[in-house]
Amino acid sequence: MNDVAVTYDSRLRIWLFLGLTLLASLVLLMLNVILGSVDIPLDQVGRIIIDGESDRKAWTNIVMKSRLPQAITAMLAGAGLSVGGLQMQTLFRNPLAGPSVLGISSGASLGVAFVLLLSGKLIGVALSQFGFMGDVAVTIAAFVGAMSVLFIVVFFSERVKGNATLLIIGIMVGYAGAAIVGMLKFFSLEEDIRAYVIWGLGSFAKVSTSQMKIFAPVMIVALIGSMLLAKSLNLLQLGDNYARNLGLNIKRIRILVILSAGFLTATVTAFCGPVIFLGLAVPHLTRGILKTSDHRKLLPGVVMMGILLALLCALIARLPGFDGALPVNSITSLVGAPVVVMVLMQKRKTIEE
Amino acid sequence: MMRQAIYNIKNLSIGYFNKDKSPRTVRSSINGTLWGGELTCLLGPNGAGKSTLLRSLSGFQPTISGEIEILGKKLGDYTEKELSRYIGVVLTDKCEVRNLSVYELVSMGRSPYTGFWGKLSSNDKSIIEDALKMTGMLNFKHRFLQDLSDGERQKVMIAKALVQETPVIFLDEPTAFLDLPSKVEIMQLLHRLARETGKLIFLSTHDLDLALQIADRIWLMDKGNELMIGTPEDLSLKDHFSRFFKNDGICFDNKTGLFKVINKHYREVHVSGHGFEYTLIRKALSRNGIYAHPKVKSDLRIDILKEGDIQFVVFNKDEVIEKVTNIDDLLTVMRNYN
Repeated sequence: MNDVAVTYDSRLRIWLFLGLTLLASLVLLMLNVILGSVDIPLDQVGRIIIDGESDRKAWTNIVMKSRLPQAITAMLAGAGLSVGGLQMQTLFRNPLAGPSVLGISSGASLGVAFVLLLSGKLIGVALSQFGFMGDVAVTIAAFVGAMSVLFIVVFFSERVKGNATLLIIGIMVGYAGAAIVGMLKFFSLEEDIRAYVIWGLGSFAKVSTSQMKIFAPVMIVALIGSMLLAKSLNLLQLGDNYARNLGLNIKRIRILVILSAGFLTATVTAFCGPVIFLGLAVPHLTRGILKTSDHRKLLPGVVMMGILLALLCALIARLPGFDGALPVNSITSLVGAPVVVMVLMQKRKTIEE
Repeated sequence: MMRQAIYNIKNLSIGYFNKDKSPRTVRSSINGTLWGGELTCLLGPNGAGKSTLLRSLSGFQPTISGEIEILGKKLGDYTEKELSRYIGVVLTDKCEVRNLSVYELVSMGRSPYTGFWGKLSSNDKSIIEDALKMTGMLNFKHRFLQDLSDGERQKVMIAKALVQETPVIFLDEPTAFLDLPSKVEIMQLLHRLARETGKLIFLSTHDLDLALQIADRIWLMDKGNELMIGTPEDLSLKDHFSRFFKNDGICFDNKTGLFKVINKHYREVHVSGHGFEYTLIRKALSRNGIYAHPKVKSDLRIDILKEGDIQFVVFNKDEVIEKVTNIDDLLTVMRNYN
C-alpha cells in the first residue's frame, strides 16, 4: 500500500511539475508579448495574435516581428541549452559540466571572431555595418566554428578511454580558441571588437522571422532526438563498466550524446550567441525539484524548466525602463544564480533533518 | 542439483597491451573450471592479478592468449549484448548517483531485456521484487542510494546482478570497506544464492578467514606460484596456505583451519591451568612477546586459580609475588619482572 502511494507520488510529482511549468510558461509567454518599451493596448495585442492585424501597423510589426520571435527564440534556446547541459552533466558525471564544457561555444566564438574581427582588416569595412547580411554571416560562422570543435571532440572521444581525459581535452580546445580570439582582438579595429563583445553577451533578439524558419524546425527535431537517449543516459550514470555490463555500447552512446548536446549548443550559439548559465543551472534546478535521476522524467523536465527560465530572463531583459537592451547573459546569471543557491540550500536542509 | 561446469579456462594468459600492441603479461597458464551452484573465492595478495582475471573473464579486457569458454562457446564469440545476459557484475566502482532509488537501480539490471524506453513489464517487476526479497532489501526499495550504508549498497548491487538473470555473477572485492557483520552477511548471502539459484558466483576478496569458512572452492593466486584450486579443506591438507604466506607474519593453523598472526617471542614462562582463561592468557602473553606453556621451565610462573573469583597468581621461585584478577594487570606484572 505504501508502495503504491510512493509510485503514485513520484508520478504525480512529474505531471504536476510539467503542468505547472507549462502554465507558468504560457503566462510568461503572454507577458513577453504584452510588455515592452512600447505600450500596446491589451485588446490590440489580442487582435494581432488572432487576426494578425491591429489599429496601427507599427504595433503589428512590434508584436509579430520582434516580441513573438524573441519569445520563441528564448524558449527554443532555453530548452536546447538545458538538455545539452543535462546530457553533459550525466555523461561526465560532473555537476559543473554545462553545454559548453566541450569547447563548443568557444568554437562558435572563434568562428564569429574570424568574421567580425578580420573582415574590417581584410575588406576595409566592418562587417557589423552590413546589417542583415552581416547577421547571416555571423550565424553561419558561429555554426561552422562550433561544429568544427564538435568534430574535433568526437574524433578524440573515439580515441581516449576515460571521460575525464575527454573533458580536459574539451577544456583545452576552449582555451586554444580563446587564445586565438585574444590575438585577433589585439589586431582588430575598436568598433569590430565592440561588435564582437556585444555578440558575446548573447541575445534572443537576433533571430529574424526568416531565420526562425530554419532555427525552429532544426531545434525541435534535435530536441526530439535528444529524448531518445533517455534509457542510455540512465545506464551511463552507473559508470562505464556497469553500463557496458548491462549491454550498452559505451563508445557509440558517448558519441551520440556528444553529438546531441553539441548540436543543440552549436545551433543555439549560432543564433543567440554564447548564452551562459541556463544550461548549467536548469538541470540542477530540475533534479532538485523532481528528486529523481530518471532521464525519462528529467529530459522533459529540463525542457519545460529551460523554457520557463529563458522566458523569465527574456522578460526581465526587456522590462519597461531597461529600454529593451539588457544583455541576456547578465540576466541569466543574475536570475539563475540565486534560484540555484536557494534550491541547493533547501536540499541541504532536508538532508540534515 | 547437478553441478554444471559453466566456465572452462584453458592455458589463459592475462595482462595488458602496451601502446605498440606488445603484450605485458600479468599472469599466464591459468587453467580451471568454474561451477554453477558454487561460491568460489579468488584469494591473493595485491598485484597478483585478481582484478585483471575478473575483468578478463567478464570480457571487459582482451586476453593475451588461451581460451575462455562459457557454456561451451568461446567468450569472444558472444556479442556485448549477449554477454549482458550471461554475466552480471558487482564492481568496486562506487555509484554516486543522487536521487536514484534502490528500486530504480535494481530495475536497471533488467535493461538487457527491456525495450527502447526501458519500460518494465509485469514479469520484470516480479523478478525485481524477488531479487529484493532474496537480498533482504525489499523494505529499502524506495530509499535513495545516498542514504544507504556501504553494506546495504552492496546488497543492492547484488540484487541488480540477480535481476539480470545471468548464469554467472562476478564480484570484485564485494566485502572490502564493510564492517565485520556486513562482511559475513554478504558472504553468506552469496553462498545461499549460489545454492538456491544454481548460479556460478565468483568473487575476489582479502577476507581469508571468511572465504575459508564459507567458500565452496578457493582459487589461490600468489605472485610467482602457480594458481591453486580446490576446496578450502583440500588446500589445507596439501599445506598450500602455509606456503602462501611464508614470512609474512601470518601462519595457517592446521588445528583450526584458519589463519593466525605469528608473534615473535623474546621470553618464555611457565603457565599452568586450563580452560578459556588459559587460552586467553597464552594469547595475551604471546602478543607481548612471551611464550607461555606448561612445559616451559622458568623461575617466573603463572597459576590460574578458579575458586570463587578467577585469580592469576604469579610465582617467582615458588614464592607468591602478585595476585591479580585481570589480564591487563597480569601483563603489567610480567613487564615489571623482566
